Amino acid sequence: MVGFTAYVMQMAVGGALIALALSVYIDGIGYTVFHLIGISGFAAYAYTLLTLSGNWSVSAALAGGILVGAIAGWLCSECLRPLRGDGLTLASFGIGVGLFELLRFIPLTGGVFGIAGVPQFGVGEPIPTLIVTVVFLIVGAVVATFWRRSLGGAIVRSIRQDEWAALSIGARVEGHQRFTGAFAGALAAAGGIYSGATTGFIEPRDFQPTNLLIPLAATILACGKTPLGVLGSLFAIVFFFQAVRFIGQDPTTAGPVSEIIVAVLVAAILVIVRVRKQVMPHGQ
Amino acid sequence: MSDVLGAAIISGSIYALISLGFALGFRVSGVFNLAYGGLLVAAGYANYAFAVLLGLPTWLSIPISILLISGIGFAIEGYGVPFAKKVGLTSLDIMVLTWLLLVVMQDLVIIIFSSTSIYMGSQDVTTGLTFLGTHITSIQFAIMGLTFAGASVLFVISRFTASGREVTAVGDNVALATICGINVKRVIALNAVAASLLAAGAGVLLTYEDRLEPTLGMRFSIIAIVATLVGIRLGPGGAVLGAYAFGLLESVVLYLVDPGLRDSVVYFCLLAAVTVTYRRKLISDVG
Amino acid sequence: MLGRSGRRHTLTVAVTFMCVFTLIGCRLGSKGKTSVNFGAVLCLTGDVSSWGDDSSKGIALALDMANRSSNKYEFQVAFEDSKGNSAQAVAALKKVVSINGVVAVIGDNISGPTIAMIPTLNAAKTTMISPSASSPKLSGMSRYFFRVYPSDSAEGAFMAGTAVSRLHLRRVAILFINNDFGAGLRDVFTTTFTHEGGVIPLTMGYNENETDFRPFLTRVKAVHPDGVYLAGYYQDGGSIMKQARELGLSVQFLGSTTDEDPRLLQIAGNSAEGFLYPFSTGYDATSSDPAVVKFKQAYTAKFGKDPGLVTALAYDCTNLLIAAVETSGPDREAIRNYLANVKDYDGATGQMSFDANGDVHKVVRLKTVRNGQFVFTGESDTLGSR
Repeated sequence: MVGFTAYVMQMAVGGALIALALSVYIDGIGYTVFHLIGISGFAAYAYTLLTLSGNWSVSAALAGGILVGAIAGWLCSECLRPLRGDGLTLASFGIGVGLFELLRFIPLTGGVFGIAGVPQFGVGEPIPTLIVTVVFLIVGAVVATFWRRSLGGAIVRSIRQDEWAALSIGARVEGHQRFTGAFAGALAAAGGIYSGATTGFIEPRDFQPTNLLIPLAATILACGKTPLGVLGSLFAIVFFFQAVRFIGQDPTTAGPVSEIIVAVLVAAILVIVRVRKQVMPHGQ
Repeated sequence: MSDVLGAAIISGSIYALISLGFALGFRVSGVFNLAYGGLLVAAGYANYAFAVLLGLPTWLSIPISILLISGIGFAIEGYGVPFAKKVGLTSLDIMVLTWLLLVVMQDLVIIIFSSTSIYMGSQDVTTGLTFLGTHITSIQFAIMGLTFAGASVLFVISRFTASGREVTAVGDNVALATICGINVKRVIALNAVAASLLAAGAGVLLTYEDRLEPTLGMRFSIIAIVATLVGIRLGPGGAVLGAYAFGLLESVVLYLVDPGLRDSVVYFCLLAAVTVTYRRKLISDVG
Repeated sequence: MLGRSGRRHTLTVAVTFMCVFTLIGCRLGSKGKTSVNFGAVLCLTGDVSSWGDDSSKGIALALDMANRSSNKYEFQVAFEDSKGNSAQAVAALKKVVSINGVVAVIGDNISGPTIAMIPTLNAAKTTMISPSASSPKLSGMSRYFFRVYPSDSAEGAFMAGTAVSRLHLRRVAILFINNDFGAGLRDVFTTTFTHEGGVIPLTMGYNENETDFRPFLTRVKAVHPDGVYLAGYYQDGGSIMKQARELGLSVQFLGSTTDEDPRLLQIAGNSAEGFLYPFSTGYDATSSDPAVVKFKQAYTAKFGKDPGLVTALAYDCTNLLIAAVETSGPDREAIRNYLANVKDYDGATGQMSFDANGDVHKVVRLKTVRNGQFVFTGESDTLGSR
């Protein structure tokens, strides 16, 4: 039981970091995006190639992978800056698929075969692995919370609500939007690297835009509240998906039926929150 | 190059069939209904269930499937979307909700049919007409004929009839249309019925042309969006021209580059179409 | 007479004994048998869920038959869904190993999740046997991994050799499904075909849910190949041959073992006539071999229809594990050692032995589509495995 629970927790932490990235982007720019999971994949491959082919140390490759994610996040947000609303979300879906296709076709990534033997944090030993897991979770949550409560976070939220007003009082709108994109990319990168290192195997299929259902669901369920709300929601969803394995005789329950339950729940929450006109995760 | 053109015509006609209903719905609601592709897939599988699994004759299974799925489509476009707007949901919220609905519809199809791909056709491909080195079967002719006929009818209705002008008015500004005395609810309902019937009919017809997979819903929705945005200035019928243009562009690009990058091309076109249509002035462009 | 507290105490003791004996009874299984748990991590949902579904039926059948005949063991299986996803497969494996306490595992249906599970398998020192994972990368990846489906290197090399030596094709284009199965076949075919003097003028990969192959086929037509090798599944192969005929492309099509499915004929129609593909998994539904007949009869009696290839493979996987337990006991390492020494096991998918890499080697034969039926091309075309 301990081994299974520990693994589920590791899965949750990887997803949690991506959910934090999504919440940062939504908080800062105001709209849901689908390209962050592609960025997490790029970072995971960067980490893998730096360690396996480049013989970098795990910590150096982790830093390198996060840097790749930050740069990719910045570039993607540049492409999306002229857009708003559902147009931005759709365009980000296009970018997310494009990133996924690149991962499949570039020979360097091993293509559809994926790459096995991804160096694992904690080298597979239980105690070091647990320590690394907790560290990733705490650092991700602290960084996201710090940004949210900082002056920069406040400025970005004000830009989200009224760009022209923010510009008129001297806010550096472009700079803050770029930073938001890069910061979200870095968080997503950490999530992707962590997930890859947990499984020890990565393939392009792991980073399709549609895999964003759980992080998006967690963000919506948190109703735009603190990063801790996002983390709590995500852990609840991931553990629910895996706990369903223990319910009933039909093993397929853990798959499509769970997805249906989560989708319906998220839709209901989204409608209720909007109808009650509380703090919105999507902005205007 | 004639083969490329022949292939483009066939692909374009399929895309046009997919896009027509979406364009009609989008014209009024202004919402990117991602569940639209799920309706096409559901219609195809419904026809398969009635015809193959339950053994109903084709003349019965097709109308039943179309009516059943049209009802679901009408519930989404005719009731769901207006209600969502009324309670204050933004277009983005509605798009996310339709995406979640697409996930639910796909999962239901997977649960019921176990990810099986389906194909209802039985015609030998060489019995059709040869054009530009390509055999075009009677089903493909039917698809082309239906899409052109549908586009023409919609174009004429939207430009030259009072009902069409009402649809345009509601699509442009609901409040103003209401003030002008247009029965907005009736217009939305009738438009939703037409769009849903087109979607369901397209889904059923596609299974006779080529096989259908449960997970194709998103791709159909994206193709419909691209075709609609490309032809947006031309009205509902413009989506058909947009679909053929997209089919031709895709065939040429894939011929020159690599057909394996098809999804990349589709989504790059989505990115380009959305950016061109919805690009706003950047803050940095000011002074 | 017992007072109230006495009655309560007696009741408590009685209930406790009942629970204890019930638990012991459960552990012993019915009629005093020892309960043995297997795990099955399969693609029960996702792109290849039909394989997972077929596998689960084969496993259920084998267990049913074993439980009726065994006096010593009560075999049970814990099914888990990998969804064709590597992270989910690892979670499922960890669950069956650590919570269900299985002594061996059957799975997965496809190579990606199977490769992902190997480190966990090694750590848990638990044997896994796959009914259909075919990537050459899995050969020798773990001493705990075995499979009853031949590596892609066998059929890919066979078809390349067939193209050169029997069909005298010099230029063969390749269309492969862009996953580990298709890419693996592509690599093996390319290596063997070019080594024997052939030319590959074009190689193109398509996505897993692709249905429109016209852009690919126009490119194929432009390079004027003698043949086209289809490294994919039956539904893709059927659509490709149908659309190729639409475009007037007339070449020899070569395929893979997975193409043998009635639905390919339904999709392709007359376009499939003359299509050649390898028969490498050993399951011949028309065989009169006692093991095959027994399997077919039992399956038909239980499920009311004829079994398919993947069902037979999963059935053999399960029976091998059952034989291991009945010979060596429900010990993980003993099961592993038994499988490693299996020689000439007579299963529903033919006779098999595992080599040092955990692979089986089966005779590969050539089949074709003739008058709308899948038939062997003739005994003289039995070319043996490579």
